[in-house]
Amino acid sequence: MAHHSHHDAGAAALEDRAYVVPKSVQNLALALIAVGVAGLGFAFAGEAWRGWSNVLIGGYYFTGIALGASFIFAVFSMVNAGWWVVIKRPVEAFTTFLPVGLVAFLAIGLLGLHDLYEWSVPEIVQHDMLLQRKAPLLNEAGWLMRVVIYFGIWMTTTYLMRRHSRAQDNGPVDERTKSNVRLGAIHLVLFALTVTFSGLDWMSSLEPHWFSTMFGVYQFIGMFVAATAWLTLFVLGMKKAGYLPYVNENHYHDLGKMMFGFATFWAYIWVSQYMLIWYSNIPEETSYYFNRQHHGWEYIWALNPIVRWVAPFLILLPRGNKRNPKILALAAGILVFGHWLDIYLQVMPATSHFAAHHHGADVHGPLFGLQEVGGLAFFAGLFLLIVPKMMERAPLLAKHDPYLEEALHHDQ
Amino acid sequence: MASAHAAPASEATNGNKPFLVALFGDEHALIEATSAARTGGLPIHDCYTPYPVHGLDAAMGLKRSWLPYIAFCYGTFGLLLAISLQVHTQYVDFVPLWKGWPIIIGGKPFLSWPAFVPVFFELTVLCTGHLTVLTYLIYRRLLPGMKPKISVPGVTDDKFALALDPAAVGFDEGRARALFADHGAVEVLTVEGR
Repeated sequence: MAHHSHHDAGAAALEDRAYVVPKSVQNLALALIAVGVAGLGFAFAGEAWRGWSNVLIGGYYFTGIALGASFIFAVFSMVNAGWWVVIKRPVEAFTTFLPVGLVAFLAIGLLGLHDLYEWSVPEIVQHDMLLQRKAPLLNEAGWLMRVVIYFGIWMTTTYLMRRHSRAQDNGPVDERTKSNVRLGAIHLVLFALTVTFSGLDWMSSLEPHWFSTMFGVYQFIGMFVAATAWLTLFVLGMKKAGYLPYVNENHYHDLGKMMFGFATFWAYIWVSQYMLIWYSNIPEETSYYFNRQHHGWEYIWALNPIVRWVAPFLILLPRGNKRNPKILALAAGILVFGHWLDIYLQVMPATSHFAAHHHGADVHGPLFGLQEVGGLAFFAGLFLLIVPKMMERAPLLAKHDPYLEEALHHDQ
Repeated sequence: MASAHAAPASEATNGNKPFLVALFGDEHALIEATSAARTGGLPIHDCYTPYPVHGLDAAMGLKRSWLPYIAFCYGTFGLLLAISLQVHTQYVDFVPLWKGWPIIIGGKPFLSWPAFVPVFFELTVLCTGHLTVLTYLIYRRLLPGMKPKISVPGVTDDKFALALDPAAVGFDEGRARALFADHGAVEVLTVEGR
C-alpha cells in the first residue's frame, strides 16, 4: 500500500470510543415524537383518511430508509467492498428500524385500509369490473398477509447479516464474511421481489386502475438514494460528535458519489416512467400524471425532479464538493427532503382524490398542515430514537473485519 | 529481480533531449525513490509504470488533472448539440435556406421536450466520453501512429521508471545516481526524448 508509513499503528491500536447517544439527539427525537403525536392526533380527530395517509407516508418513508440500508448492507457484503467497513455499524443500525415499519403497516392493514384504498371498499368493487378482476391480489386478507411476509423476509435476512457481522467483534472469523456474501446475494434477490410487490401493494394500489412496469424499480431507487443520504447525515453528525475518527474525506467522497450516481439513476427511472406514459397517451395510464398536473399539484410535481436530481446533481458534480462535509450535508439534506416530497406526491393526490369522491371530503389540490408535519415528525422521531440506541449495542469499529485495513487506507 | 537482459536503452531515441532514467523492480521502490527525489529537490520529469500505481500522484506532487473540466465542457457541448439538433429539425421551418422538417408524431406538439430527453442524454454522454478519451490520447500521444515523447524500455512489461530532467534547475547527477542506488534501482540509463 502506498501510505502504510502513515498508518503503522494499524487497526489493532485504534482505540474505539463506545457510542453513547448524545443527549441532544435523544431530546430532538422525543420532541419530534411529541410533535408527531400531536399532529397525527389532530389529523385523526379531523378526518381519518388524512391521518392514515400520513401514517402511510411516514411509515413507508422510514421503512424505505431501513430497506435501502439493507440493500447497501447486502450489496457491499456480496461484492466484498472494502471502504465501507468503517461506516458499517450505522448501516446495520438502520436495518433495525424495520419492526416499526411492520407495526405501522399492520395498523394500516387492520384499521386504515378503507380510508386509503378503494379496492378495500366492497360497495365500490361491486360496481367496478376491473377491481373485481384484481380482487385475487387486492383484498384485505391478502394485503395483510403480504405485509407479514415482506417484513418477515426483511427482518430475517437483515438479522442474520447483522449476526454474522457482530460475530466478528471478538476475534477474526473470516467465514462470517463469506456467509454474508451468500446471504447478501439471497437478500438481494428477495429484496428485488419484495420491494416491487410491496410497492405495488402499498403505493401503486392507491390508484388501482393505474399500472406502470417501472414502478418497482422506481420504489427501489428512491429508497436507496434516501438511505444513502440519511447514512451520510449520520456519519457527518457522528464525526462532528467526535466518533468515527478513522472516517475521512475519502469516505465522504464515496458517499457523495453514491448519492450523485444514484440520484441520476432516479432521474433516469423517473423519465423512463413518465416519457413512455406521456408518449403512448393511453387514458388509463396517463391518469396518474393527469391527477398530479392539475389542481395545484403541478408545482409539487415540477419541484420533485429538482430536489431529487437537478440540485443534488449540480451540487455534487465537482470533486471537491463531495469531499466537503458542509456541502455534502446540504446535498444529503435536499435528497432527504426530496424523498419525502416524492412519497407525498405518490400518496396524497391519490388518497385526497379518493376521500373527495367517496368520503365527501372537501379537498382540491395540495394539503400541507400540522397533519403532514406530524406524520413525518412521528416516524423521524422514532427513527432518531431507535437507530442511535441500537448503535450503542455494538462497537462502532468492526475491528476484525478482514476488509478493515483496506477501509482505513482508503484513498482516492 | 534484476534484469538479466541488458536493454538497448540508448537506442530508444524519440528526440534529442536526454533524460536520466532509473528502472525499479517494484512499485514500492519507485514510490519511495520518487518521494525522496521530490523532497531532495531533484527535478522529476515523469514516471512510467506497467499499470496505474496507487499513491504515485502524491509522491510526484502532481496537481489534479484538468481533464474533468474539459469533460464538463464536452458534456455541455453535447447537450447543446442535442437541443439545437432537435429544436431545429422539429421546429424551425421559418428560416429560409436552413429549414428543419417539423413532423407531427403521435399527435404531439412540435416542441415536445419529453421526447427529446433520450437524445439529450445520449449525445451528452457520447460527446463527453469520446471527446475526453480522444483528448487524453492526443495529449499523451497515444493514438496509433503517434510518436511518444519518450520511450523507456521495460515499462510496459515489468519495470517501474523514474525519469529526471538533467536540463532543469536543481539537477545533480551525482546526487541522483546515489539516490537511485539507495532505493535499489536495477538499472540507470540515459534515454533521449522530447
